Amino acid sequence: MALIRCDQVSKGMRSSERTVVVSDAYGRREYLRVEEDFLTLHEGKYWLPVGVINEDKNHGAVLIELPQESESGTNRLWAKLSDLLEMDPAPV
Amino acid sequence: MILSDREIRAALDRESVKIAPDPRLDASVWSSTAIDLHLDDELAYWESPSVGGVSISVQPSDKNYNYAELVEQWSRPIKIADEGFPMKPHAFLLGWTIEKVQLPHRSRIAARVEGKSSLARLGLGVHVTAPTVHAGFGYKPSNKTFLGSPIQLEIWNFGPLTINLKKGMRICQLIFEEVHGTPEKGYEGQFSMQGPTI
Repeated sequence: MALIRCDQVSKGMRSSERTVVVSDAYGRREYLRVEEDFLTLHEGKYWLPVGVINEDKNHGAVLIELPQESESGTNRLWAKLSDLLEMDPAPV
Repeated sequence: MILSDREIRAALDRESVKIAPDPRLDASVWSSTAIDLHLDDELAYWESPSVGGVSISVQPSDKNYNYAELVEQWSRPIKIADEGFPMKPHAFLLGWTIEKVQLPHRSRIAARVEGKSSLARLGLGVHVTAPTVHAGFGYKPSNKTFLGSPIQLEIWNFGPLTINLKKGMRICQLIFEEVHGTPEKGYEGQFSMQGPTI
């Protein structure tokens, strides 16, 4: 379990919802609509809970699973380790 | 394998699944293999994007696709009034369940949102071929009091009748399935360096 940094948070399609942008290790942007209270505000930035699938320490990358499919259809992506918080080890 | 009502209750008891409000307190929402969920009072719809009166298409596969901008410019909210919201034939709306759901990553349970046959017979559908709720949905272990996330519905009226949508109506059902085996660790376990070096 971990949190990935949201690059952008904007309005969603209803009052309690937000559209967030997270980036993968290649710089591709993924959009998700989630409830605002699902996000964690930490040191002025919003963070999205994600599952940790695997970690590649050599490249500083972590394979994560998003809490729901993004608007481009992505469920899993490689993220930069530096974009994550509170990382639990990947399952063995 | 689809969970029976007894197995769903056991999953709720051991918190492999969390639903708020707690369905264990309302016998009327249960069937032998599903729990009914209720419609919340907010809906949304897409206005057709246009520039200067000319319709423009949405390009979800475009690498510069800006979904946040699309939401900002072309989504419109609706609040369901006490008397309900009349959904016209062939209309498409987004809606949300009142219930908030959590599926912890390691519970090995996935869910599927499906329609109610009573509404389907009127022509009303609640998802557009995307019923799966994956593990991790609404799961926020850093906050033990967090209730979960509502399930979003893609509501379409395919029939010839105008259907009145009301807050709290039984709109869909949630079916739970056990995941067999352990999901793979993924992509041969290594980041494939195809893009810029990180």
